[in-house]
Amino acid sequence: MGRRAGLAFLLAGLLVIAGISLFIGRYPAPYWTPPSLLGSDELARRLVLSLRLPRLLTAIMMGSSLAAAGLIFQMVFRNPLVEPGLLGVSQGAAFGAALSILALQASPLMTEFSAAVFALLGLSLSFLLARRLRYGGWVLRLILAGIAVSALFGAGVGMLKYAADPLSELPEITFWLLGGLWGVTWQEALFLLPPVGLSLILAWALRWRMNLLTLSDESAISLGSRLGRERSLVLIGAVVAVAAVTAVGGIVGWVGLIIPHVARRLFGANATYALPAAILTGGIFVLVCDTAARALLGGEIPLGVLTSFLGALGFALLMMHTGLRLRP
Amino acid sequence: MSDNDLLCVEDLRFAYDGERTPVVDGVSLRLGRGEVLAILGPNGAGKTTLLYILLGILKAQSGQIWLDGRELSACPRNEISRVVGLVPQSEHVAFEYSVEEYVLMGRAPHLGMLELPTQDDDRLAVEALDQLGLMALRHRSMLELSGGERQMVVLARALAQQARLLLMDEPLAHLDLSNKGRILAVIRRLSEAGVAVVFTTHEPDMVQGVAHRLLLMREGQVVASGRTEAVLTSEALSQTYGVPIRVIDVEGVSLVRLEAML
Repeated sequence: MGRRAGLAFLLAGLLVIAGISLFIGRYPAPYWTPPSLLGSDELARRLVLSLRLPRLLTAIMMGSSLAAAGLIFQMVFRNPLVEPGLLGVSQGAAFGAALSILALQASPLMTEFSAAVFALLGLSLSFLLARRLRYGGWVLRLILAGIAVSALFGAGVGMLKYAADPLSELPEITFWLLGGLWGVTWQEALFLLPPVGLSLILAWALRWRMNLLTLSDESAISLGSRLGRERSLVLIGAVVAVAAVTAVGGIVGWVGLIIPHVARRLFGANATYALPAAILTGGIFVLVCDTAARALLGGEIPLGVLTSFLGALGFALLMMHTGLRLRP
Repeated sequence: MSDNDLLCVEDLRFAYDGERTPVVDGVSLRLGRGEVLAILGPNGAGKTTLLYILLGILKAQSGQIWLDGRELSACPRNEISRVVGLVPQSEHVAFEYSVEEYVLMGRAPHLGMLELPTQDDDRLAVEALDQLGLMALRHRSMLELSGGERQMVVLARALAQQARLLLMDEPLAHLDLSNKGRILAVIRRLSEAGVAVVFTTHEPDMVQGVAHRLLLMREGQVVASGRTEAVLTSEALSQTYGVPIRVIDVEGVSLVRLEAML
């Protein structure tokens, strides 16, 4: 299969899985809601259109943003082991959410808002600190600053958990930290649409150009890249979407780290193909995990647990097989 | 400067942030179309720094650079990159790009930020590979190449760039004799095609017959500069490297030897 056909296949796969996922659930009985019910059963219709559809769209947006951002981070930092939460975004969001749960006994919406604010704060602090560091090149400084800021917010989260009421607040914080989309409505889906849409469009538009960022600084500049500007542009574009989806869905690990590997494995390193492949694969992956999270058991399985479990399994399987590359 | 000069450099001075001693100190040079300039000098003489200044990556504190009759500092990045190409000394490759995709990146200066390479760009990338006899590597992964192959592919990237001035930082380092021969032959061919080349090297024996001009540097300053035959002398080399060196003429070929070895 060629790479274009591969992308078409992934897109078709995403649409088919999305279509099926809408009717998977525990009403009227596990695990299937017959589509014919939509015409006759008001509850089934509201369930599908008001709960499952926005949640499904949110899951796709979450997977696509995390995977695209992961690919971009790995390219900009020229390191296949970084993930998009690196620059203080994940821990910032976690701190914001925990603070809101603890101090404000806030509504879910308030918690999301607080998480988004602190995610962006973590990102800004990482950039500001990186500019003040006097050690190593730009890439190393940013990574170090991200680690320091993440540790700072991580410590803050630890303090908040310690101070939290172990019967009411602590479980809520823990559950948020494990990630999940259980409370998602159209409100969240529409809130995510602008940042995720803009971020993905920007990345798509720059998908060939961003290959230059994987070269050495000198090479990239010698090929016409205004390196500082282009790096900041793709990074900030990617990370704003990550901050938004993390604020809504909590910390969902592994997607941003593993899906880019899968995409590169199948489509090669060239981001012209690897980026759309990551966007589609990420969307499929989180959608499948979230469908399992809500339908498999009577209660919600934390999404982050499933993405880690299935991601690790799939990843190991993929890496054990050679020759899985699509034709150029 | 004359109209024939592709590159004209006057009295460059550069020191790194917060450093007192300049790394490049009063360097002037000019280069016409198709001319080849070799830069020799001990480690830390400022050779690589000079190349990066010529490329506009580093900004000199004083002095002037004209590229194709225009002041370098007034040229937008993309325009510089359409004229000047770089072959860095060693290039780390982080991901599994195919050789062809990697060489295609050389087309970036000719494309807008949002443009994808066209079929013409693809063709030029393949031609660059063909020119260097690298077609067999075309679909190989960059991560599987040997050091010498990788160096050749980076050179192909610069050819795809269609630069009129090519800056090569120690293109002969870490290569076996046959690969050195290939690189030198490519430099010659480029020169015949009107491309000017500036390359740095630690091998004075390799410059004759390839470089029209020679620049000897020590501690950021020019020790000697001019036509290769005129500059490649025992005195100038000894002064450059700070050890006694003798240039022996054998039937018109200059052999460079350390006195200590004779």
